Amino acid sequence: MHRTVSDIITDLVQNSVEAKAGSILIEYREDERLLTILLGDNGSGMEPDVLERAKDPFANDGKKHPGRRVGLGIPFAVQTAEMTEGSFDIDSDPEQGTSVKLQLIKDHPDIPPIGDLVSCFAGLMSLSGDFEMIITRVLETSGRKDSYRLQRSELIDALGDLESSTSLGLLDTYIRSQEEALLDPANKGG
Amino acid sequence: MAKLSLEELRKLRDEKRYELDKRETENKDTEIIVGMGTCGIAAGAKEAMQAFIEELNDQGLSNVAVKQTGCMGLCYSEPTVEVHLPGMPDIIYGDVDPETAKKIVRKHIMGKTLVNDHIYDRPAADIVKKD
Repeated sequence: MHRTVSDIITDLVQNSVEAKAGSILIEYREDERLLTILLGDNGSGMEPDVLERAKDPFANDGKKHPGRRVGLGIPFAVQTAEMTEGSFDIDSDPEQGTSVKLQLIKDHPDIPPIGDLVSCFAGLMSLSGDFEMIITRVLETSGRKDSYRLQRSELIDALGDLESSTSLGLLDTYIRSQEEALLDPANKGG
Repeated sequence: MAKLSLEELRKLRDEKRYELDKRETENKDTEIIVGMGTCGIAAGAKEAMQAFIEELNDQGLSNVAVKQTGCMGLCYSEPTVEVHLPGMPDIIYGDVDPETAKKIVRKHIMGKTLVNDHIYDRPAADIVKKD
């Protein structure tokens, strides 16, 4: 399985990009008990039989890597959900794209570490391709709800590109400032 | 750190761009491509990518593009990274941990010398598209 929750997210979103999605919506929602990750794309989607096989670690659609007999991205997410009493749901339609919901119990003893969420989000935003991506990060704790939203087209507009080392450094700084403000207990949110 | 607005981000970018314009357009066509397939992610490709970005910024190399791609088929040597640098052969490096990433910036990109013990020849034969 993947070492961190961030790695699972990167892997699933990489699938959306490889499915030629023009629009990718991600929500990372955290409350006191649950971590909920929602992903929706309008990529090429999968027929029901392909979708079923995608959950099998020893299956491969034969297109990306003909001759290889494994495909571990989705199975890693399924495995993490199963071993931590969480849930993983995936729906897909060749005409509409794919949606995924991964829900994990935060204090389950086997939940993997979250990883560096900021560099995860920055990495997602800078995946190569021509697509829109919106990431909404929501934190709900007792008496407080706060969020921030990252939109790829706005970031490209502000930075000029999401490829040069300068832009990627600034992107990290920007997202880190959003995350730090979100986690700051002095911030009452809205 | 205070929460930055998009406007402040734009301003930071403009300041950096001003610094950039003063320099030569060195490294303009240099690309570092990090394999971000399942195998790469599991082996630490994100940490390698982060190390590239930090080291490039620390060394003041503003023009280098850092891109991501899927699996190159060399799953046993992940994280794999392809480096295109004008005047140097295109190289695929394997087992690129953050320390090796920094070494690639300093030796390959700045010093024009290969990091020999991490070189792989090309993507695996069954991954390369045949015409």
